[in-house]
Amino acid sequence: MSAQVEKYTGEVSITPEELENKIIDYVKIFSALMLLTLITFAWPVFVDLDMYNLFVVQFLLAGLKAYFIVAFYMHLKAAPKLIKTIVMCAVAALLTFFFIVGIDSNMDDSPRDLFQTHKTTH
Amino acid sequence: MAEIVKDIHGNSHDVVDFNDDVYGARLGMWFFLFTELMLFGGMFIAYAVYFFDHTNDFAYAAQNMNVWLGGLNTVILLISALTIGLSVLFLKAGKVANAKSFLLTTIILSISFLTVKYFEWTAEFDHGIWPGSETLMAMSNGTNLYFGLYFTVTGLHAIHIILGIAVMIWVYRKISNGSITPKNFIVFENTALYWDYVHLVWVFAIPLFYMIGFAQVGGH
Repeated sequence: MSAQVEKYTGEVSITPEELENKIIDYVKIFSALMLLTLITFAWPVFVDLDMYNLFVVQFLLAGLKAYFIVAFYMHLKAAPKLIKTIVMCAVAALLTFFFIVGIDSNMDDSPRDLFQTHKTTH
Repeated sequence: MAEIVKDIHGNSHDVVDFNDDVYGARLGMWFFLFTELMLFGGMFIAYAVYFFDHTNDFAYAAQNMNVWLGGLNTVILLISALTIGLSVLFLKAGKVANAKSFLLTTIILSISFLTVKYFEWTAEFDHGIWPGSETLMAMSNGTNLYFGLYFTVTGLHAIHIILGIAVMIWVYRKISNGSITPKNFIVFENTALYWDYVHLVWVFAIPLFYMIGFAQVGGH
């Protein structure tokens, strides 16, 4: 911590009580994220998983961490409806891309693939 | 002299300075993050397609990753997300010195992240692994794709970290000269939003590039 004290005497946006409460909230979220990170790294070391199950576990953990970060650190939970809508649209757009590319990739080289131009072996 | 406009009911309103449009600034930042999501999201889509084509190759390639260094960087980013959040809180409460200390800590943690990444990449270069290297070209297509994506995603992420450091230094200077204050902090708040996004990308990069190496896979 800096030894230099810069005294600010103007208006502030939050009171000392609010500051204290928010610090406690931040530390709680940090502890939850740290715990989830520990599980992320420890789980595969102690539990043998095939690729499918490992992916499911890892993405559930990552999704939970993402929720904490976006909802609390990025304050989306308390954000206006318009900002929440923008974020939902962004996620929906990305999932749509994943879905469309997934279908295309799945039909690659199948009789229904309209673009049978490449790749017959891997 | 303030400009006056009338609304549809004929009531007069002062035109405020658009620099004070906190809501607009916040909205603009979220739109920017939307584009960022598409940028990294596109790479994750490419990863998904190649992963399903070369699952075993990806798993074997990921076994070469140093999970300890990946884990260390995860913890560094996690702590930095806390320190920048606390810095914004202290600034809002008028505790400018504390805010500056936490921001400085965030900058130091960011530089630590890049240092760890430097050692990680150096170890891979020492093994002859970089995009287009002879060693890598002699390996399977799946391994090539994995490392190509790894260097692209982590490289682009590192560029975001470098930009974040530059912006944080700029913010630090603005706090020091009084341009960012406990009542006028939207620039700093948006910087913290950006930093949280950078953290978020790393949260998803970890399973994709490090943790899949632990999966039990069939013969190579």
